[in-house]
Amino acid sequence: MTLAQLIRDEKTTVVERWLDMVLATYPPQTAKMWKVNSDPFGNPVGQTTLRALGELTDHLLAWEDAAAICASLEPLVKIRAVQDFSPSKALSFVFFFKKVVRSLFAKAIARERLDAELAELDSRVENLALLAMDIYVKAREDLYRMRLDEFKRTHRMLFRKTGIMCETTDVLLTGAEPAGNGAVGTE
Amino acid sequence: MALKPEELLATIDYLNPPKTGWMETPNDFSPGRWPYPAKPDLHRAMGFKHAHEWKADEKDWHLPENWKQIISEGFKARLDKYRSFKVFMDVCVRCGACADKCHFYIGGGDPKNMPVLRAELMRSVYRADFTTAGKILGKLNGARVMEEDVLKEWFLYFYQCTECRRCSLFCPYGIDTAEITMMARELLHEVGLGINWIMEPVFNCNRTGNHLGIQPHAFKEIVEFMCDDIEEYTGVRINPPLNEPGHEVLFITPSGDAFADPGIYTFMGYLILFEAIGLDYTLSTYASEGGNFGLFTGADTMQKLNAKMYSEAKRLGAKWILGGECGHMWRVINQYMDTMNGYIQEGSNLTTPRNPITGTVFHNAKQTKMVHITEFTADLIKHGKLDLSPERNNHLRVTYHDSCNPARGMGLLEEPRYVIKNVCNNYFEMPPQTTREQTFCCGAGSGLNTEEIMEIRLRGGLPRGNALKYVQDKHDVNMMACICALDRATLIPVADFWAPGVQITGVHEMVANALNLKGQKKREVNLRGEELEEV
Repeated sequence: MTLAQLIRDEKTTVVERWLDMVLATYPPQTAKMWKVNSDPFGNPVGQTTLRALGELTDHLLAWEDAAAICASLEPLVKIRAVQDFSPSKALSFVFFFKKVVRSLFAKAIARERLDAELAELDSRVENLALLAMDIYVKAREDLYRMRLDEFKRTHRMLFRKTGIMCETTDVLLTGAEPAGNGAVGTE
Repeated sequence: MALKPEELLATIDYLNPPKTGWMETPNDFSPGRWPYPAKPDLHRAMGFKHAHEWKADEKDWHLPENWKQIISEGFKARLDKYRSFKVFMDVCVRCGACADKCHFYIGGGDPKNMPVLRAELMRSVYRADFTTAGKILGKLNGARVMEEDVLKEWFLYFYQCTECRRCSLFCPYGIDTAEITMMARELLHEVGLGINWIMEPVFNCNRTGNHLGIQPHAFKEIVEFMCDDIEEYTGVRINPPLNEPGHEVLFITPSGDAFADPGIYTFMGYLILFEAIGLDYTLSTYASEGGNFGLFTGADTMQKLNAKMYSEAKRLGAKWILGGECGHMWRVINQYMDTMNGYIQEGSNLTTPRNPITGTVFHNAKQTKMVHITEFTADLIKHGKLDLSPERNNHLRVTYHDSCNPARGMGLLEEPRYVIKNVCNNYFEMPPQTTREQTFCCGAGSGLNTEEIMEIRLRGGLPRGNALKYVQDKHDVNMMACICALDRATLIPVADFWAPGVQITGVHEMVANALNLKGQKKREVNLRGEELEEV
């Protein structure tokens, strides 16, 4: 019996325990509601978390396709990137997997001498955390870019009126007049 | 002494969330969790009292000395003035039907964003001050004394309510939680606590007529820019009348449509539509703002800003008013305008609106004299008055976001859909529990569309973004239409974050892209100047 086999056989229990730990990062009444409401549109956080943890459990065992792993991580990491968490708390959910495995299979690991496999699984969890960090940071960078873009959009016509808006970087390179009064379709 | 790693990572005690009851759970006032305070001179200029400098992350908010008295008297005055408010304070049985219906709660999970608990922030004070049981039993009866921390908590959470009224839909008593938020914000303004993103537009609107404070000559110039673009793209020159008396219709739309991308394309859409049907209308630089941020400060300010609609219609001698795609503007019009400012109609030419092209009489607008542009356009299409080439929108796979106020505040559900389906060929609905009356807010209504609280907005926008992602994955949706200027601004980051690749449009931008004008040249680009595929 391998550790992977144990996890695969008990996948439902593994995912549920992982989910409980992730939901425990929210206030208790919220955790309770998000666990029971199965409507993906009325409960996007609970349902996205559940789906992501199920997929990530499979990915941790297979450890094959980085793009697919990131695709599973992304929805969950993005949600936690805009919730009231410090970065460390937002990403803590990845490491909970280690705790789940130990809490469920400690005896079997000792009995079957699965330490080497456990060490390998641990290193996958750590690499998963690094992938999650990249996604987290990109989400935060996107957020700051959006704040800036919003300001530009809000004042689009005023920038145009005062002639301080460049349409493309070509304008800067060629030294042409910025698109303002008269540059586009005016006399 | 140096910190040990576990001391530095104090927050990593994941499995032990706060166990305190909600009244004792301390509030976090870190930057990013509250909108910036209003500038005192703007606050003062609008006639609000106790304008002062303050910051939410500082301990001392420099409240006036007698702030408790001001709040208590203000509370009592409003309970006397609005019977509904008193009922809303008394009648809630805390059944919890609303608890998981708020987008901020759904996205963030903070229990104080459950509508029932947010309202309880006020109700607890109401019980202590105005009910016998609360006075005697105190906390046993869910009552608590007004303290500075309680007032600060009001500020934090009543500015995390967008007054979208989704929770009210699920309340068995029909408690209008938005009106509770309105009362809380009014009381906060009484002690000098307001936010700048609301106060500055209010101030600008009051002085110059629109949120950005654009003066008449600049407004005219900006409209001309749009006409230049229309001429370049369609070959037809439009010269919209401005401030001209004697026209049948006065057209009013939110100023976001005139200044902000992508609202400007919707504005160009209106102009093209009016040109195509030869509507006898005028724009106004005085009534150059449909939006009314007064709604988010207090009833008196809302009334004052709203009055210009009827005043301008009266001055120009218009017979009725056509209103553009806006959200809260329509809530003010349908729920408050006639009560507040109906008297201004006296002695004017205003009459029950009649579509001059089709002859349809809008009896539903008998009281307000204002017709929503999607009702108007749907009527034109129904009577075959528009020459449409919907295939010009074939590259779009469109879904429709019911903007909260037109959907829940005036029941405008079918008309926008009818219009969209007639001007584009690929239309897909989001799941039913996220549309129509049950629509989810954009996450930034009621004056919360300010960039310093982008995290709050994005988690509030999660339920909408999540439903959008679903139709993006399932139907390759690439455009979400809406009929609200705030939506057109705020749904862009929501879509960009949760469903990257989906763009945002107003309905009349798509109408105009499909609409043929007499004497037009070959339409090779859309209103955004993007090349159209050969169709």
